[in-house]
Amino acid sequence: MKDILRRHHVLKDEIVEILNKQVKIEAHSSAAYLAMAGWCDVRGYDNSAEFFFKQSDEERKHQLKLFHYLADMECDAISPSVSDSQHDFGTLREVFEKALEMEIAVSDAIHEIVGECRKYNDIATEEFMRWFVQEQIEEEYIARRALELFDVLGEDKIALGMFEERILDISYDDN
Amino acid sequence: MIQEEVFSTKSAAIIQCESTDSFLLRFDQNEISFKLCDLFTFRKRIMELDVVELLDCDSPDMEIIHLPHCDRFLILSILEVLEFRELLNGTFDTLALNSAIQKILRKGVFNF
Repeated sequence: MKDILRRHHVLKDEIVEILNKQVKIEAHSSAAYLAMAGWCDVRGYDNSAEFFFKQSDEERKHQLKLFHYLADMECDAISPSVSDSQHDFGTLREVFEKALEMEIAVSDAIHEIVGECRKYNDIATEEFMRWFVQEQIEEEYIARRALELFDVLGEDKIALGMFEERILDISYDDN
Repeated sequence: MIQEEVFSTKSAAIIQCESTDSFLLRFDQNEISFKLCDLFTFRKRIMELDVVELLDCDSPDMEIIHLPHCDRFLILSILEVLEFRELLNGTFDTLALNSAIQKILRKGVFNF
């Protein structure tokens, strides 16, 4: 009997489900970063706002990358509903604390997908996820470095000004 | 047209059509064609139905299912819902088994 299942539904149901869950996580992250950008923008932290606007775009790109992969594999890619994001923060540092917390949660979710790929011997998806694993190393590094700036500079008005001067210069060099 | 029965129950069957890579659902003198992705969607709809709620005497004991890929409606009783669950579970188990067998057979493709 012709193997229509293999020809037209490349991924296992469990992998489709966990990838769709990740699509939702990335969509939520994008919305959460947008809320952070808005909070920073209104309070005059222009560079921090720019930082979070960029992060929001990045998460949206991650969402689409996963979405396209599912569609390319002829599996159901589900456009997710996104729940409310946190819009109120006490301090600029608190915003960056939340950002790091979120990135760690995203990394955990990515690693869980890799674990599932190994469980179901889905080598193609594991290979596809490799990019996300690397990306999370970078994202977590940047979020940690931002918080370290607060440790170094402090949180008074002059320190926050210096933080604003430096936040857009943080980058990850894996060499 | 090569057609092979994948799985059948007392009054319904799913047939694989090899020339079109599609499936036919036959039941009660009806015949509905599904692409694999539509069959997955149909299974999801059937599995999501709350049978306990259907058994509740305050709610209607029929369920209306819309099939957007062919714009048809199915009106199913509780027994038919249960039979479709058996049919779809059996179908997908058979397809998975066939897939596993074909994977073993594919090893012979490069048998040189």
